[in-house]
Amino acid sequence: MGLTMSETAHSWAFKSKLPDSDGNARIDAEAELPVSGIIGLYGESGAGKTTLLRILAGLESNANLTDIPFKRAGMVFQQAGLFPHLSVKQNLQLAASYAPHEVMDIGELSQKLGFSHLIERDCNGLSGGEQQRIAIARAIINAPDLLLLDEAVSALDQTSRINILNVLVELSQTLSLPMIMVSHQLAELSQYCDYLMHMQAGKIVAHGHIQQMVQQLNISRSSGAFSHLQCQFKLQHSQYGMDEYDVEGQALFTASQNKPLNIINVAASRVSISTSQPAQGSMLNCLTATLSAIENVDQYKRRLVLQIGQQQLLADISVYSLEILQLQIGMPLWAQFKLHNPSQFID
Amino acid sequence: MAATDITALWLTLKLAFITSCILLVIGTPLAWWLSGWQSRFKPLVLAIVALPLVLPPTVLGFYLLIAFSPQSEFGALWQNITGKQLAFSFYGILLGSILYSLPFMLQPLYAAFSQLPKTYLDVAHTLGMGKVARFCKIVVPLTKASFISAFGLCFAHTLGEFGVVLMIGGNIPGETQVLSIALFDHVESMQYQQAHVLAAGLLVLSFVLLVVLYRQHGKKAQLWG
Repeated sequence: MGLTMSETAHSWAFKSKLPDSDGNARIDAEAELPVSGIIGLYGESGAGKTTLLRILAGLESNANLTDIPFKRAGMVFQQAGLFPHLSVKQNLQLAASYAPHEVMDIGELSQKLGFSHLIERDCNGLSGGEQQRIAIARAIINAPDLLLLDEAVSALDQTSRINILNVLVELSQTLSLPMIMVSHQLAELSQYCDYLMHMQAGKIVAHGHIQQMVQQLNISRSSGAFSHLQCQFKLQHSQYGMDEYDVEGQALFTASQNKPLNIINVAASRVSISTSQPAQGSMLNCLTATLSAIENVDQYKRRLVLQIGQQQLLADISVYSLEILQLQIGMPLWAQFKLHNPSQFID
Repeated sequence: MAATDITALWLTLKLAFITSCILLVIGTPLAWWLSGWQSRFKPLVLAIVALPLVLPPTVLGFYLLIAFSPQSEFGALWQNITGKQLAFSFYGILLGSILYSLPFMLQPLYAAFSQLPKTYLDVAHTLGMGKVARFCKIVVPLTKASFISAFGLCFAHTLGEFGVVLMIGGNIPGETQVLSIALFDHVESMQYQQAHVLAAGLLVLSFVLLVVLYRQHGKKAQLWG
């Protein structure tokens, strides 16, 4: 039992154990993490994500938390936990009164998180989303040096969630505040985190930079496969409601997003293959690639691994198509697809 | 109202008030500790402190009378220190009332502390609030209604106390004769007019107290319901 840390200029490591009532290890987790940015913590329900955050926050008395570089770990819980006997402003003032230094003006922060109109209100009667925004502000104004977010935006609708996540990214940078964010939504984590920990049965089974982890996690997914193309935002075609990205020097179009994407997720089942350059069509995304591998999916389906520069694109095709096209390793191919939900894992 | 009845009324109010105050001081930390205590012995402790709820007052009074008598170690110690015997004194009935009314303070507070969402305390902890600050700034304001209920229940229960007081205090005017015993005395002496005054007075007082308590209960439900 215990938590030991090793610290370098750019990273810190933790090792923690927490026994359950039978003395078995409920949490036996260790990882080396960057000291800045947003770290995602991903895992199935019951993997121990919340418990790990509670250990880091010093809330699990059976786990010894010693000598971490973060002396003040703030936490935003799944339930906002606003103190109902205090107004919104008083909740924030109470948190600020325990802060070692002033982080930000309450008015400015409430403006940023979009609840300035609620500041004089009682906490009773606020919606779940409003409460969660205030809870995030309360944790930030308390001047933590590490912020732990336990499904903190899950109560918000999609638009609010994206807005708040963008604000969190901005605050993490401007306040130099590292954050650990728990979420079930790998797509969301892939957009907002710099680093990812994957937790299973109380253990960190993998951790690494987000691009590497997203690729790795996809392999273990039992449902449909996805490719995760790293991309650079080029321009917005606002008159068409479309965004244009660059992937390995080739153009890729998506429906306009709320924020520029770093990774575009492409369902393998949505990719169509041609052995010659397709004539002009309505499907705008057409990437040139080289066939680097053919994998078995099942009796009637094959998965093509297409090399596009340094990246890989997966395409699921039938055995019948494979035979008709007479595909061979090393062949140049054209891959076409439409992008409905480029930031989501929705087939 | 006879002078002895006024004395009995004053003594009753004094006993109820002091009992409730002392129980507030003792019961609060005890209820807080019990609400967070995880042990297989917890039901045993809860049963012990709840015993006065189900025990006939005469049973408790009988054992306390033995404990308070100068023949017992405790009674003898008291007499050595104060020079007066504990049985048949105001302090005797005060101690008896404290033990007898303990569950009425403990139960509402224990229930309120146990039902308080743990998230509030976790949040307060992560904000850097210490144990005392968490209790004073978060727990007490959130359970204020239960404190009022507990105090009111103790007060009301002590007002109506009869068996325990009679057993350990007897019927000494100005010392141990509380309203319920004065009423019993009037009935025994067939002074029904005086008995009516005391009985009606106790009835109205108890009723008003309970109305106030139930109003507070409603407010508590609104706080985090």
